[in-house]
Amino acid sequence: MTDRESAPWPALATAASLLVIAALVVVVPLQASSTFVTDFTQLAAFCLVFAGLWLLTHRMGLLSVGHGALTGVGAYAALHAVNDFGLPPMLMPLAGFVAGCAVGALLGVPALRLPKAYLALLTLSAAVAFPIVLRQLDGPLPVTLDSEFIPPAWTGIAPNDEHIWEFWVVAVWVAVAFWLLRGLLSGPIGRALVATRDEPTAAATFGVSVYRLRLAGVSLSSGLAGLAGALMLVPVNFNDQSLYPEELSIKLFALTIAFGSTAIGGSRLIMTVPAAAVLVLLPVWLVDRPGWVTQGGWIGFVKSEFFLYAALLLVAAYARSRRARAVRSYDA
Amino acid sequence: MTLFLQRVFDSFANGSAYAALAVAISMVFRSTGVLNLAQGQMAMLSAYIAVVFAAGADPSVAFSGWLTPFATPWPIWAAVAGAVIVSAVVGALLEYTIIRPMGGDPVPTIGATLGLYLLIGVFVVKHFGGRQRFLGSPFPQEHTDRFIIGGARLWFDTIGLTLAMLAAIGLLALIQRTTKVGLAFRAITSNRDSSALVGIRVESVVMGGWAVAAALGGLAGGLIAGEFNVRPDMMERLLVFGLAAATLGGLRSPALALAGGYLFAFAETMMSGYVGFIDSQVTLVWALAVLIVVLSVRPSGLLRGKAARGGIRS
Repeated sequence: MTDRESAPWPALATAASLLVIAALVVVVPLQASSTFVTDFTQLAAFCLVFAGLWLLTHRMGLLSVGHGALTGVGAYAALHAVNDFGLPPMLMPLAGFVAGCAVGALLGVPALRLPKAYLALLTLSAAVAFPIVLRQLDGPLPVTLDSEFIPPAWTGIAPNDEHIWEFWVVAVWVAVAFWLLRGLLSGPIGRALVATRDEPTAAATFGVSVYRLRLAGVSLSSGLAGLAGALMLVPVNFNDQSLYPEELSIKLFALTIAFGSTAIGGSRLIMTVPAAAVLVLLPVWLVDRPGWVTQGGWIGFVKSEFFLYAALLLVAAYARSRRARAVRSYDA
Repeated sequence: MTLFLQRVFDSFANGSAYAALAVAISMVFRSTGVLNLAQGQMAMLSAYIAVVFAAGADPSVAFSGWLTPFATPWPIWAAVAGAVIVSAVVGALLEYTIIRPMGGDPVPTIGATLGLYLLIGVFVVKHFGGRQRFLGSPFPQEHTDRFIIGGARLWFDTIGLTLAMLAAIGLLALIQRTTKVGLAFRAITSNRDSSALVGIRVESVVMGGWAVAAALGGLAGGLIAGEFNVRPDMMERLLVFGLAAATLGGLRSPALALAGGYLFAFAETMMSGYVGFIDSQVTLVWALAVLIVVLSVRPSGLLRGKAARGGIRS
């Protein structure tokens, strides 16, 4: 474990962060427009995807370039669990979580016995293949969720303000998932995961089943992505193959690397929030600047969203490699 | 029988492209341990460069005008050759400027290749408009340019593409076996640290490996542009098939990667031809399934020998 990770996050900062987030959760939906609240709902759900990637990348030292596809797997499973098997919509995130875990395990079983690059290879392949699979399964048109999230009377929310209720539903699921994840990682399992990253041979000597633990970690990480995919259905009520291009997976990976670097806050779970904010709000910001999107040539190249992501990824990767070299030279 | 034979012939063109990408991926991985996820995008860029050379000063091709020095349209074979040379230079530059500073750590290096993936994609969209282009084939493509074998048509274009790819890969194998540069490359593949100790300039050879891999991918991109049109997503499917084919050789055997490329193309054509519910798009999923099965059953690839490297150690 690096010094940066073991250093205690100041209790005051933690309390302040949680207070600010709690205030945002309660106040924002009551005050903001429905579009803004829907964006915030997506943001909350994406925090879970980033939590899964954070676990995989920073806690376990593994690579996934397919979490966008795993999000889609969760959304597909949740939608069909409600539409075809009558699962109550409030429980549909569980279907997404289970489906994500299963697909993650399917990819992890062969890849984790090999060098790390293989997991990246398999997940990227899955990211490219998933939209085609979804198109084959669901057809080219979006599939609508046969259920709505009507706010209960006790909430006092007007029926046409269902976006507020949807936001709170998602926020509660996300909060519970984060609480459970944090509890899991702060215990012996979390320490064992770090051990499998830093000293796998020593961990195996101490009785840790490295392969099984890594497989469990990959499944959990994928399950979180699946849970997030199911939660993303809550505000939009439909699923569509165009929501999960392979670029989404690469963007998720880029932001995970960038917001896990020591330059931007260190590898802390809380950094999933700004990462999700960039992912969700950057396109919204760009939509208001059509000149940025349509401009061609070198200027348009530098101003494009993908260039920003590529630059972020390259800079963060370089910073991470420098840090690894510094740690190695210190150890030597 | 005629239909079967026709499908076998049809699989040659795709197989050549898959094989070239798979060999390029294997070459980079076995010498550096880097899985270049941007290999397909580099090949796509090469196809666009070939279009620019072949189109001359056509303003609809490169609207930013920075390629106007190439005002005279080149013959297609020269355009492809030019693109291969540019690809080799770009490959070497990318290794020097982006990959080498990552120091060989897997997470940053794979991150860097993904950064390249995005960068090349957006570069093509912004500089070439992202529109579909037509390059044409350097080989004869008239409707009479074909052999009839057992009632099936084998196009000169397909033969030319396949032979060109096999010749390029064969030439690489020959260079590796018979020249000092090839010997240095094989030494690095075997043991990088010892190679440095005996005086081999490891970084230069690795940079050369990237250049050759980029050139091979560029050749694939330029030649298959005659089969498919040139567009930004033209290599996505090919990358998955290329990765799957490379995996058959444990990412370290160019020979098995080559065979894997043709095998996957053959299976793809047969499945989409004979299995009713599988169209050409869904064969991509089949490639993924084969990838998972091969990695589960034979983690080190189909070749017997050295066991899977890494495991819990990496």
